[in-house]
Amino acid sequence: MTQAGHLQIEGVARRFRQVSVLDGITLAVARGEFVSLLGPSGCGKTTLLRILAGLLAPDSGSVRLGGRDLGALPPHRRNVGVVFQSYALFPHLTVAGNIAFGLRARRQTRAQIDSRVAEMLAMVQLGPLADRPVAQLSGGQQQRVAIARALAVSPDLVLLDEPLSALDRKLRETMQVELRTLLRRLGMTAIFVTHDQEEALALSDRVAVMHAGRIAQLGTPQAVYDRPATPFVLDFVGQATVLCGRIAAAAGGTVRVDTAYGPVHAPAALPQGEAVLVAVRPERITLGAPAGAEWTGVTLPLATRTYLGSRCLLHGAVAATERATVELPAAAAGDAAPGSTVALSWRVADTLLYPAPPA
Amino acid sequence: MTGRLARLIAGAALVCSLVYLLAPLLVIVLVSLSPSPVFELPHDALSAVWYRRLGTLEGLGASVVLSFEVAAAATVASLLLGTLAAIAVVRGRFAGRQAAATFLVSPLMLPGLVIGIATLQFFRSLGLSAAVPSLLLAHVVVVLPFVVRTLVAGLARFDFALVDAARTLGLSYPLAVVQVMVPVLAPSFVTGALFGFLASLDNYPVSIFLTDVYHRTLPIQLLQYLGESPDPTVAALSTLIIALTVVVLIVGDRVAGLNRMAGVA
Repeated sequence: MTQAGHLQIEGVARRFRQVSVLDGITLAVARGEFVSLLGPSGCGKTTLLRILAGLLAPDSGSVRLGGRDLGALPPHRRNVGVVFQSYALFPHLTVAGNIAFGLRARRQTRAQIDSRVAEMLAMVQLGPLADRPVAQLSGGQQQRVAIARALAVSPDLVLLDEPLSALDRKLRETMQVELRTLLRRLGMTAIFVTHDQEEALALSDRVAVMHAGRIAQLGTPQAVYDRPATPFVLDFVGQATVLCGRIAAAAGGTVRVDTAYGPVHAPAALPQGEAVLVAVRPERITLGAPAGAEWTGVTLPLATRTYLGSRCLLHGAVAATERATVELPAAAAGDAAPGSTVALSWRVADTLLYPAPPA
Repeated sequence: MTGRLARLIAGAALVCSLVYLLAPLLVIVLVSLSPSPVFELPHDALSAVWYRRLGTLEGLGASVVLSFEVAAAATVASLLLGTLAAIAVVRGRFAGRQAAATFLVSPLMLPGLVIGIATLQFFRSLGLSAAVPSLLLAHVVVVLPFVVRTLVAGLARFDFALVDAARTLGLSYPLAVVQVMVPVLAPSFVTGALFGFLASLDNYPVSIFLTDVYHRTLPIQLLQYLGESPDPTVAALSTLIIALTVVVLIVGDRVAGLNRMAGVA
């Protein structure tokens, strides 16, 4: 990602009353790419979105889009489409009126506007509702109008601010697919802000996990999930078993970590004696002792067992700073019962290792 | 059974309230159509004589014009000031924001008499004694609370992301405000302006301190007629004012919805 992207964010920082909200964000997004900004509330993702839209000025740093420096441009000159969390549909206008808004602002001719509106209505399948006031639409329909309105002006970049968060779960999943298909078909470059990690993983080409005003990790959904760069990313994206330990031996790119539940092997190069966190994703774990040198594992008492139909969740009884979560196909869970002690194993290659955070 | 009884009592209470509220208005309308020179009911003939008398009343035309002028000017001034004040109260982050909001609508809660005496004293101390400017300034105090109250309510529900949306869609900030905020808040503007206008039009206790022999507003002129010759001419005029109010309310309902006008919803 060293070559200049379609969207190039360089060292963007912003403070609000002495509090740093964005702390030097650098990010390059290729044309047609779908990048999610994923993070908890307060991580600065919405602030970054508002800076990209021009609704907020950064204290420092630059934003370039398609080779243009956006720095001095007000929002109405940026040609950046925004889908707001509240949708922000104009209540005094009809569905068609909302979609035509940006085209009217650009002083297109009546004929141009009419044909573009018809095209967008067909695209989001709202043709029959063109003349309805937007207040009469369902949440999913309003969402589609908001998307059609943002895309009608053929923006160079579309920003989506948690656009699916107001929908119920089922509708959200449908809209996810719809949104992704639509944007990909149009080859639209998109930045998608969300705090829902499943949504980010499902939709994105790349995910930027944000934490305290910085990008903690930038990568494909798979990289972010399989190889979390920090304990924060590990924690925020998906579930994990996390145990405390200390490095007992290091040799040939592998280390042995002593935990309270037995020694664990991990591929890493950390000095002996260092306090670390050992982690592994729940679905990588199987029941039973390690089968061979490529495997490692622990033995711990089981606290709960949760049956989820196709899958089964086991939780171990571990210290308060630790977590032991195992996700198994229901058929593979056997008779492991709360109270019993079970052996858990996983591949050495799947072991994640982090320096222990200062206590 | 109790449900039916409760409905019966509630229905009776509703009918009584309506009669209590509407009967005086009905009496005025009937009296204005009576041929008798005194307030008399019932009467057996209809007559438009008192309406014809209206045209011959000395000073009536001038007072109507003055009242409408003052009400219109005070409403326009209040719309400008009230909108800005409401935005500051809803959007601003400053100490005493809540106190400012309460203060801005406080003339609604103060007796008009107090405002009248206070403005009289205040204007005198400033050396302002001309009737029309004093009336105008004082009526802004009368109208402003109505505008502020409806606009604060309207703005509290207004999603400012709408303005952001309009800006990202290609409108400059001022144009976004004009094309989005103004039409979306139109019901609030109309409601506040109509109620303020009517309040100014029928204000007596504030105006009485500020008018002089040459400049009388309509309510003051009316009361004087009533003192001089208590015939149904006043009733005829009142009927016309009722008709005007009904028209204003119907227009308001069309534009804003009566419930919102009354502040119910």
